[in-house]
Amino acid sequence: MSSALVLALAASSCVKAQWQRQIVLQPLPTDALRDLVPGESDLEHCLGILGAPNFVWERSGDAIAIAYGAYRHQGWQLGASVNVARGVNASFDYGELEALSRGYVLLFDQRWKLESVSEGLLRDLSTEFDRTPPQSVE
Amino acid sequence: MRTTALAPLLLLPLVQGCLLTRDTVNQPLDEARVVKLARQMSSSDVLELLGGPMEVVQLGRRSAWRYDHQNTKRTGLTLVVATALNTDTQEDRLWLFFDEHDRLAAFGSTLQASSSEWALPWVDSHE
Repeated sequence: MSSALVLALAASSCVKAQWQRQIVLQPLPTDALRDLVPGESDLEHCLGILGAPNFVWERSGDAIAIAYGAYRHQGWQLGASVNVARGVNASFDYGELEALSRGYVLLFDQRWKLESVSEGLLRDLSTEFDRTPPQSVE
Repeated sequence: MRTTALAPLLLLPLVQGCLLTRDTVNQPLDEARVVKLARQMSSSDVLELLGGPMEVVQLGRRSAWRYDHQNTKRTGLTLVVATALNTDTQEDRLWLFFDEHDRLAAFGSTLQASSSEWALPWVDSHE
C-alpha cells in the first residue's frame, strides 16, 4: 500500500494526464432559423431573431455574408509534464473560432435580403468570401 | 449514506492543486446604451454613444462595425497524476450595419458574456 503511494507520488512529478474541456460560445437554438425565409427576410429581421453574428464578410457585388458559430470539445492529453496553463489560450481567437466551429452562414444579396442559409463547418463555408483587413476608426 | 457523503473527503489528500482563473477582453457592453440604438442614427452619434468599435468591415460603399467583450473562466483540479481542466468562454457582441450615407441600417446584439461559468469538465454547463 505504502509503496503504491510512493510510486504514485513519484509518477506525479513526471507523467501526467490532462482531461480538458473547452466551451467557446453558445450555438444558436435549433429552431432559431425556422422563421427565416430566403427572398423575404432582410438583414434586420435576421439579426433581430439570431442576435449578433460572429463574422461579417463582404461578397462580390455589394452582397454580404454573416456567420454564427460555436464549439465545444473535450479530450485527454498525455505528457511527460503537463503545465495546466499550457495549451489553454487565455485570449479569444476568432481564427480558431472559424476553424473549429460548426454553425450557419447566411448569404444576403446587395439589398441585404436573405438568399440562403448553409449549415456546416465555418471554415468550409467561408472559403469564397473576401477578407478585408480590419480598419481602425479614429 | 454517511460513507457516501464522506467519500470526497477521502480524496482530499490526493489533491495536489486547483485553480480558478478569469480572463476578460474589453469592457462588457452596456445594455443601457445598446437599447438606445435606433435605425437612421448617424455613425457619429453611434461613436458618441458607444465609443470606437473593435473592427470595421467595409462592405462596398457600406460598412459594419463590431463591438465585443469576452469573458473566460477556467477551472482546474489536479489529483495525483491527472488534471481536469475546464475553460468556458462567452461573449457580448454587437454588430452595426451602416448604409452608404453612414446611417444605421440594421444591428444585432448578443449579450452572453456573463453566462461564463467556473465548472469542472464533468459538470453539465450550458446544456
